[in-house]
This record gives sequence, C-alpha cells and structure tokens, in this order.
Amino acid sequence: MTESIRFSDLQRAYGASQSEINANDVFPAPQRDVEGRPIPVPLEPIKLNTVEALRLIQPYVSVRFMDQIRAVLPLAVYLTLFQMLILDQVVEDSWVITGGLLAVIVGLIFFMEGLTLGLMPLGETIGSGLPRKSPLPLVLLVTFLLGIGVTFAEPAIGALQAAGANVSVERAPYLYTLLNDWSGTLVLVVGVSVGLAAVLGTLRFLQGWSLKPLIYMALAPVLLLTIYASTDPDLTATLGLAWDAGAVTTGPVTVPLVLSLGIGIAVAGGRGDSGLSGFGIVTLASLFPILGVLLLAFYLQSTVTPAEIIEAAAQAAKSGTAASLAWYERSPGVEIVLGIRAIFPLVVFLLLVQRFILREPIENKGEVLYGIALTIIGMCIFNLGLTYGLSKLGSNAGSLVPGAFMEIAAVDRSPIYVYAVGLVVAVAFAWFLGFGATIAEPALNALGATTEDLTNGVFKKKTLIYAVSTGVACGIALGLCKLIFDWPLVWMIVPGYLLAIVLTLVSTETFVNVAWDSAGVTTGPVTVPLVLAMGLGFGNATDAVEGFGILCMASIGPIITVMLTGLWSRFRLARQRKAAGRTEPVSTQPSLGGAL
Amino acid sequence: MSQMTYLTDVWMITCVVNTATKQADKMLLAARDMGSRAALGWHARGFGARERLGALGVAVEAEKDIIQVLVPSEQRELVFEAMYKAGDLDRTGAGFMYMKPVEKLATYVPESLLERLRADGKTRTAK
Repeated sequence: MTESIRFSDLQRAYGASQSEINANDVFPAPQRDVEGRPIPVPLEPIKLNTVEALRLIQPYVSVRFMDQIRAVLPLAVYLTLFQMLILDQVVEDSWVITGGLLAVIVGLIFFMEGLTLGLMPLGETIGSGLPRKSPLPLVLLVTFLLGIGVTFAEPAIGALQAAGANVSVERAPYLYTLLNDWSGTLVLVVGVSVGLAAVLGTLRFLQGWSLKPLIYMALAPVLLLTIYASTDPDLTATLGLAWDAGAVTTGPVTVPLVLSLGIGIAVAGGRGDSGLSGFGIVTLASLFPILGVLLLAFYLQSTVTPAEIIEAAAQAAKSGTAASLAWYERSPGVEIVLGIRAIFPLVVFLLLVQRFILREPIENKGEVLYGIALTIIGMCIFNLGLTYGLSKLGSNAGSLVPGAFMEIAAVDRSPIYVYAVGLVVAVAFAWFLGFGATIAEPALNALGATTEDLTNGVFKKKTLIYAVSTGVACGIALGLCKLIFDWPLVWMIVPGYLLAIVLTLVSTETFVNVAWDSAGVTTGPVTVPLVLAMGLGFGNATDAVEGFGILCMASIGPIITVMLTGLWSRFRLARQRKAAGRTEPVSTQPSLGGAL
Repeated sequence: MSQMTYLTDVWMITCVVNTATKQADKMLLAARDMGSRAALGWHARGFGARERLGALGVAVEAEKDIIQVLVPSEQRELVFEAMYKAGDLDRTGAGFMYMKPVEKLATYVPESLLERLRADGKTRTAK
C-alpha cells in the first residue's frame, strides 16, 4: 500500500518554509549599573513605513466606516428608490445630498470614536470614583449638571433647531418663537429636565424603587398639561414639539454617560448591578423634557402675545434680508460654531469635576485629548451633513410623498394614484421607513440581549427587536396619518398613554422597565433628523400647521407593543402549563413570576 | 475509584487579537476546520505597541480577544498556521499568537472510545 504526502506538508515538516528568530536578539535587555541592578530600558518608539501604517489603519477605519454605512445607507437607498420608483420623481440636488450623507457618515465615525476615546473614559472614571469620594448631595448635583451637558452634546438636538426655519410664524407663533428666538432656552429646559430625570433615576437605583409609580407620577402632570394646552389654539401647535423633545434627548451621548454615573453610584451605595439597575433613567429622561417644554410654552404664553411674535419675526426678516449675515451665522460657519458650542461645555464640566472634585490626574491624557478633538470635529462635520444630507433628504421625501394621493405643486401629474391607493402608498412608506430604521439600530440589539438575559431566555432578543420595530413603524405611520387628516395630537397621545398605563399596571416590573426604555433607546442620531425633517416637509406640503408629533408616536408605539408581547408570552406560557396538566396557578411559580 | 485516563501530547495555542475587527471568530473557525475541538476565549485589555506608536497607536485597539485552543501535537503546526492566516496576523498591529506544550489533560473519556483504543493497543499505563 502506498501513501501519498503533499509536498508542501513535507516541506513544512522539515521547516523549509519557515524561519526563526531568537527572541533574545529582538527584545531589549536592561543594562546593569555598578551595583549590578538592572537599569530600566527606555521605551523606544516604533517607526512604521507608509505601507505598514496603511495596513495598520485600514482595518481600524473600515470597521468604523462599515458601522455607520449600515446605519445610513439602507435608509438613504430606501428613500431614493421610493422617490424614483413609486413617485417617479428625480431626487433633487442628488450630489449635494450624497455629499451631505457622506459628511454624516464621516462625522459619526469621528464623533463615536472620540466618544469612546475621550468622553467615555472621563465619564467612567467619574462614575466609579465620584460616589466613593463625595457626599451624595454633591454626587447628585454633578449628575444633574451632567444631564444638562449631555443634552447639549446630543447630535440630534441640532435637528430640532434646524427644524425651526420651516415653521410658519403666522400659523404657529409660539412654536416659531420656541424654535428660533428661544431655541437656546429650549435646549436648556430640555437639559434641565434630563438632569432632573438622571437624579431621580439614580435615587431610584439607590433606594430600589419600582419604576411603575414613577411613571404614573411623571405621566399624570404631563397628560393633564397636554389636555389643558390643547384647549388653547395657540398652545396646541407646541404640543408636537414638546412630545418630540422627549424622543430626541435620549441618544448616543446621554444614555452611556448618564448610565455610567448612575450605575457607579448604585454600586458605591451597595446596590450592585441587579440587572434592572441600568433601566429607568432613559424612560424618565424622555418623559421629563415633555413637561419642561410644556411649562416653557406656558411661560411664553404669559409673557408675549402671538401678535408681538409675528411683529418681531417680520422685523427680523426685513433686517435679515438687508444686512448680510456674518460668517458664523451662515452655513457652513453656523454648523461649526454649533458643533463646538455643543461639546465644549460638557468637556469643560467633565475636566473640572475630574480636576477639582476627584483631584486625580487624567490617565492617557494624550489619548483623551485626541478623543475630545475628534468629538468636536465629528460634531461639526455631522452638523454639516445634517443640514445638507439628512434634513434635505428627509424634507424632500416628506414634501413629495403627499403627491401620491393629493395635488401638490412640486410633483408633476399629481395626484399620482387614486386617492385611496395613494393614501395606502404613503402610509405604507412611513411604516416601512420606521420598521427599517429601527431594526438596524445597534442600541436595540444591545437592549435585546439584556432583555433575553433578564427574562432567562423567555423573551427572545429577536422577539423584542420585532416588537419594538413594529411599534415604531405603526407609530410613524399613525403620526403621518395625523398630518394627513390633521388629527389633533392630543387625541392620539392621551389614549395611547392611558393604554400604556393600563398595560403597565398589569405587566411585571421587568417588562415595564424594558418597554418604557425601548422607546428612548431606539431613536438614534440618524433616525431622528430624518423623521423630523420628513414630518416637517410633509406638513408643509399638506399645509398642516406643524410637522411635529411623528417622533412621539414612534415612542409610544414600542411601549405598547413590547408590553403586549410580554403579556402574550406570559399568557401562552400559562396556557401551556394548563395543557400540560399542572393545576397550580402560574403566579406561585417563583421562576416564572420573577422572569416575567 | 475508577482509573483516571490522561491525554498526552496536547499543545495549547493562544492568540491575542483585536476585538473590533472580529478576527477571533475567523481564527476559531479555522482552528475548528483543522480539527481542533476545544476552545475558549475572553476579553482583555492590551498594552504595548499602542504606547510606542505615537499618534498611530489609536489604531491598535486596547480591547483584545484572547482565544485558546487545545490541539493534538501532530496537528499543532497545521492549526497554528491556519489560525495565523485566518486572523491576518501578518498585518501590522493585528496581534500575536504562541503555542506551548501541555503536560497532560484530563476529561471525561467515553467508555466506548476507551474500549476501542484499548483493543488497538493505544492505551498505556502512566509513567
């Protein structure tokens, strides 16, 4: 019997294709001083040639590039194809939009990388060090201020301000002035609300409070004020903005930074990571801003009249056309100024806390500074992309979609379809946009994994992702219907949240936590500007007073669907048990009672 | 107490690679294809090249995956090389790997397998 061997195997066995180096020839050996003690070897820098440097950087860049491409590209392709195939329209300024989207991608790469290298390490040191060193009131004060800082640094906040330009001052004077003259105050109010939410959420970790009563207590004044505001025609227009503000705040800066501080406090207070301790802050941080913005609107109403606002706006428009704007008030200067202004306070605040309260030197100073620089550059580029890419694409799509069912000037041969068919097309468009945007959100994936852990696998990651995506999709579709039929927002929000309250009453703690947090988690820096701009464009085209309100419908949607799914899975389990012949009630089973 | 059976001629291959590039998954697959049947992995923080590269150091992630596979001695070169190639370790800053002999390994050995090996005369008493 003959046996064959591949030549290469033989060669390898003999070591012909390999070479060896003795490690003693490579590693530096310490010299010894006169007494024979080894002298530490200085750390010599590594020199790379260009090819080596490129091969080093290539995977570093491509991993991050692909992450952002996955977030932006599907949505952009979907919107473009929808415009071209279903609406038969040419995408206007397609090169500008492409450049803008590229800026969004590059900006997000820089921003996220800067966040992980610069702000996160700072936040983590403070989160783990501060609660051990300082008394609780001081820690809570820092938490509160941090809440304000992160709100300014949130990329999607810029989208709110950008939206202000499209609001008609005559028809919604308070909304106009909130978004233009008072936009700084608006963000500050939202920030204060987020700060308060962070403080309350942290106290909740420490005391182990249930989330349910907090939700009821936060919702009661919000809903009452909403109903009250809806009786005043001038204030009604600000409702959409108030409710959307909640969805905008909880993004990639707020959630990890505030959470790391909150969890640090919980751990230092002896309340370890109970699994649920990370939840709750996000929920409160998306409810409190609603209250804050509503109160600001009430304050505005008591100080200025609509006539004054319209007057002032007319004045501003006149002088605005006369004098050309300074470079920092024009694009692209304004985006850069906004970007620096957004990040700088947060950075200064974190550095001050580190320096004067923690009194510890910063580790890896160079890297942290590099990270901070990247964050600022990223924010500026992202802001540019927001103006030229996401907002433009969103408002383009939003202003064209109504052409499917009604006559609008921008679309030739509109209405393109019979009214009923066109309506279905438009609503289906919104539904799939919401579904696609949510299912790709990386934060949702993380939430899904946590949920699967918490429920011991009863609630699968995939189930949660589908439940949330369906919820968001239905919410966005409903929000679009609100614009089409001009339904008052209060008629959609109040019943929606009442239903959510009822579901909260009958659901278990875990699901209440997951469901209410899922709403805030899913609205990322790409989805928010796109949906906001789409809503505003759509609102303008259909001649609605204002285009807000879609985002908040996208928040309530997943709360309801997730809790319904949770109840359904509990019901199914109970029935299975009955079918299996077990007579004891489900609630006496500790493993299940704890899990669901 | 029943007799204990050891496995000898085992080598351990350890690889330290970047987490973000997901090299570890590819390397584990390559090891499995080459006959490795036991692997474990964990996360770690790396130090070294990052500090010496200056500004380029940020491209070497501090987050590392460490994976270890156990292989029979005859396949160690094959597995080692396959993993090296799968992980693109010839790339600057991609990571490193090493192997070393394991003196002996003990685990549950199925009775049927033991019988078969005994019949073939492949078992011996420990020294």
